[in-house]
Amino acid sequence: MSKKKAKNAGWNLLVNIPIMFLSLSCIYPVVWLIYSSLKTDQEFAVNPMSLPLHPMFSNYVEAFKKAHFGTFLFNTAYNSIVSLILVLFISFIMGYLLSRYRFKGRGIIFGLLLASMMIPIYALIVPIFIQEKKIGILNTRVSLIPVYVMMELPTSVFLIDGYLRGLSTELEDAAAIDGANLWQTMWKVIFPICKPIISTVVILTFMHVWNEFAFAQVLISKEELKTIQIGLTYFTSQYMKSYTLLLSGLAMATFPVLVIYLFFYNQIMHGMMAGAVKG
Amino acid sequence: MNKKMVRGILTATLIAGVIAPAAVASETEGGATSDLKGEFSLFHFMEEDGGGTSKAFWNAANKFMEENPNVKIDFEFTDSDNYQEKLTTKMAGNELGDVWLTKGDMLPTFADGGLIQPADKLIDQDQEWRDSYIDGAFTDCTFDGTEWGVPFQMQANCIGIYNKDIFDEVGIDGWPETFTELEEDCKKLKDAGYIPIAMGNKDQWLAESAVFNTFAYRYIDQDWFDSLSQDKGAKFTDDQFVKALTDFQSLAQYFNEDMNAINQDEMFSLYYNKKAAMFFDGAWSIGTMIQKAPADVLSATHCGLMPAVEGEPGTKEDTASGAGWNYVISSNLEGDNLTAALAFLKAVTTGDYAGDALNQGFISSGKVADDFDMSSLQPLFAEYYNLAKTMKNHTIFDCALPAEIGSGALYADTQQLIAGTMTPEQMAEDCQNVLDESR
Repeated sequence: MSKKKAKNAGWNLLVNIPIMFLSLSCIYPVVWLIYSSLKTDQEFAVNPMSLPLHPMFSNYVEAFKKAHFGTFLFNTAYNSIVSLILVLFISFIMGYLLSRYRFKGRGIIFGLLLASMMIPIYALIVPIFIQEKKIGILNTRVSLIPVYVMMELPTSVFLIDGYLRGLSTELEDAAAIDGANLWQTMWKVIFPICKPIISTVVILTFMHVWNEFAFAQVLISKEELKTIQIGLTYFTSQYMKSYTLLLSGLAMATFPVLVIYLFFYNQIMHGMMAGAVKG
Repeated sequence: MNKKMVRGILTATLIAGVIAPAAVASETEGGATSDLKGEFSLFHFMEEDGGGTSKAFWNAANKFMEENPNVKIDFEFTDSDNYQEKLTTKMAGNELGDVWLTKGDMLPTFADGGLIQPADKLIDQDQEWRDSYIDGAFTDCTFDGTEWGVPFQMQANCIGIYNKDIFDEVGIDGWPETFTELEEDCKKLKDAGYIPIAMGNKDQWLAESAVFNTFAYRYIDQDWFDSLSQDKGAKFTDDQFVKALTDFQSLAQYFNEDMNAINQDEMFSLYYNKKAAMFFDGAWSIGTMIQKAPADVLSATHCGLMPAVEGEPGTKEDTASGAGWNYVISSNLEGDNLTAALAFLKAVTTGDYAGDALNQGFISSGKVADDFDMSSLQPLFAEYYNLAKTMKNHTIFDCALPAEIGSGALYADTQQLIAGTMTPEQMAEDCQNVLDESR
């Protein structure tokens, strides 16, 4: 028996050691980012891997000022929250109706959503730039929101559709018998029980929108409308880059996403599994 | 629930997902009184609170705005790494604005498309302005015999930087004057365990633009390049150019092994850590050394010109250098707005700007005032400044050739050449083919 236990322990160790190393390789970049952000530019230039000799917390203050973090943080949060609300609202309605009803054009809607996921997003930059200019929303408070909604909608609809297909219709039948209409059934009966998949949509959308760079770079020119990701480019001169300020900025920009991810990651895994497997 | 209602809701939500309400912000400013008035937009990569060229630009720009309160300038900043991409997108969307920065290789596109107006005629209206540029400042702004842009810097694209302490340690007395001396010095350094020449060509431009371009001018001359770029007979496959490639490939044996895996900053790191004894790079690296090199390395650092090659026509003074980037003016800008923009461009490229640029560690395209105090310059930069005065400036390949060849085939093939995966003859033939196709 003890021989068997020892064998099991040995086997577990053999499996766990590579996993532990893999975990370290995931955590190390974050640790490196944080301690490197406290170095002087000269220290970083001489040895990018060493620990800081005299931690420079002032890097954070300087990076905050230089990258206009106050304004850019607000803009990023605004874009993320408004896009998130729209994505949640639209994708839940679409996901619910697509999963529960069979009607003409349903296949086309699915096909369009799938097709929009297939197109490389960078191929759309110039056409969207021209389109927004013609519509008159280029370089305004709403320039990025339709783009972000468009980018995030297909995945969200598929996730919600997949999740709902795994739910029985008994609750909706009961609601119908009690006299609930479609709107009430959707929002008062079904929405509350979709918490895992809604959490997943919240986190994925928030993370993508928060970190989006390409469209923010091209569609926005006014300083008062730029986002944090654009602020991170403010540490680059024509011939020089201030790496330590960039790393301080990165640490600050990553922090909100990291907190939200850590807070919700259990829900994400649950929602992803549910959305992917069922249906 | 009927299907019509379902379809209606879905259609509405789809539309809502694609088109969101618009809110256009606008701003206006009241103005004070001044002779000069007008407004224009400027698309640029001069980082506010930055160093080097950016600092000199903002010092001059802020002074101009204080002196001319009736001139309204709408600055639009994008960092230099992403500038080219945004410029291309703005061009596609016809959103270029009034004044913007561009590299020489984009001039044909703007000029042929009627998007910019010639700068030479505008500058010639003010003789004092015309006379305030150094010789050769407009080389990278010229296309088809017309000066389309206004230059703001004059950078040598290649300068040798070396650690004298390491040279002394291995018995090298002074910077090599010839290619043979350079090779002998490299052997000594290699035997002593040092990387003779650090190279960081991960991003492809450094080996070609900042080293080979100047090295090639030992074998070819400005006439040859003009003939090549204007399709008047010279070809990349000419013997002289192939010979330049062959000798450059031989020099690559003294580069660090990971030359194509590390970038410019990692190359500097090899030098800071005294693993490498020297490197070649653009004059911008002087400013980086001054700001970032450890004190003992900086005090031992000196600079020199790319050595001449015995038996070849070029001299060590022949250097690829120029403005690189320049300001261009939209063909739509006119009247008071054009006058204001010209006054601004004069202020941020000449006059006090030139002296301030030297203080910030780079040479501007404007002449420095006679009474400028040279003793205020950092010793390494002063050393470079004196060398720069002896240089014979030649066209930078990637600023004058079409992008497909200048920053396309030449960059990529040089990377392969130094890695030994392409022969000089193959590279010459490939570059010529790409150049022919681009015409």
